[in-house]
Amino acid sequence: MTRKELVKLGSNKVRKNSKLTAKYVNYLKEDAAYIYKSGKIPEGCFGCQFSSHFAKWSRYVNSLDQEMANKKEVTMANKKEVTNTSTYKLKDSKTKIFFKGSVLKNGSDDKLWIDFIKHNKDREKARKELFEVLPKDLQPKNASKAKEVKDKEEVTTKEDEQK
Amino acid sequence: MANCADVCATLVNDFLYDCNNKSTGGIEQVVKLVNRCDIDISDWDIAVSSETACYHQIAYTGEDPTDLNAVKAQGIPGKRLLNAGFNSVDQDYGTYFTHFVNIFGQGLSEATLCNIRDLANGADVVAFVEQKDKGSDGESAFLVYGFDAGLKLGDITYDSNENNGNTPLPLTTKDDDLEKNPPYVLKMTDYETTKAFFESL
Repeated sequence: MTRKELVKLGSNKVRKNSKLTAKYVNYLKEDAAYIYKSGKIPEGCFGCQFSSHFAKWSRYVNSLDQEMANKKEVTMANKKEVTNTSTYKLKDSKTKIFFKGSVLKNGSDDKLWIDFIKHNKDREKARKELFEVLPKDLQPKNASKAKEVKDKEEVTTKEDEQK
Repeated sequence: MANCADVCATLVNDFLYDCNNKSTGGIEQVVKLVNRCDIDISDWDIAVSSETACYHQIAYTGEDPTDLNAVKAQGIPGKRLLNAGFNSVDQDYGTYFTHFVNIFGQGLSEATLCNIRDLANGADVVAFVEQKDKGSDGESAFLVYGFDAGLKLGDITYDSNENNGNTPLPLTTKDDDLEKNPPYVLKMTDYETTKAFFESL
């Protein structure tokens, strides 16, 4: 029986069947290094914490699936060139927003934040307020040009002063 | 003896004591309230089952929680001014539930009076609550009260000499409009995601 099949059965079924329990414990011992900080199953009443251990192990097994899926996606995406960019700066780097089923946070791709900002016109202004620097594609072009000109002027002035 | 296949539900979960995760009471002192009329049932996935494993959870499948126009009720951190709970009610056609969430309005401000008036005029809400006891891995941190029938204004009394001039506001399930289930566990992927949803309300 594979790890995935055991996870599908759920903690209660596994616990009620001694063969399944033995199989699960073997897997848990093998995987402990990836699940627990100590690298092994914590000491104490194993039965009392059965559901808690099982939940952690299930998450680990499911994450393996997700990892495989991600690797596949990246491999596929490599052919098309992966583009994960974050050109913005949030006012509060700890900001976390739930949007379309996932969590947007510091480091999330520009495209996801732009989708969030532009999702509803009435909220666009308030959402832009979350940023100290907006994602590149939302930065006003005139403003950035003006900034470039200003920066150039400052450099020229400094050079003149040095001369 | 009835056959288990013929009854609606059987008990499948053990009641076990987790030595490393003692329970704690109380709720975090921020509750989010959503008008029931803003709840689009197609944006919610309710999993209630006891067939092979017990599920009693709800997840938001909509795009943007801001669409729910939630209202925030805040208590004083470190105090227990906000609380939540439920009671079972035996009825002729089954056991139902009364949910309650107690919040308060600071002073008797215009905003508080407006809220009292709106609740008295029929506003009913669903309350999203974060428990202090979050489970061993945050899996049962959030509960949803009043999802099926809504919470309405309970009996209130304001007395300028009581409660330091604040207005306790009980929100509760009303008779004849009882909840069919105890509060649902709000669960989306993991604690981080569910917390982000709660914060985004």
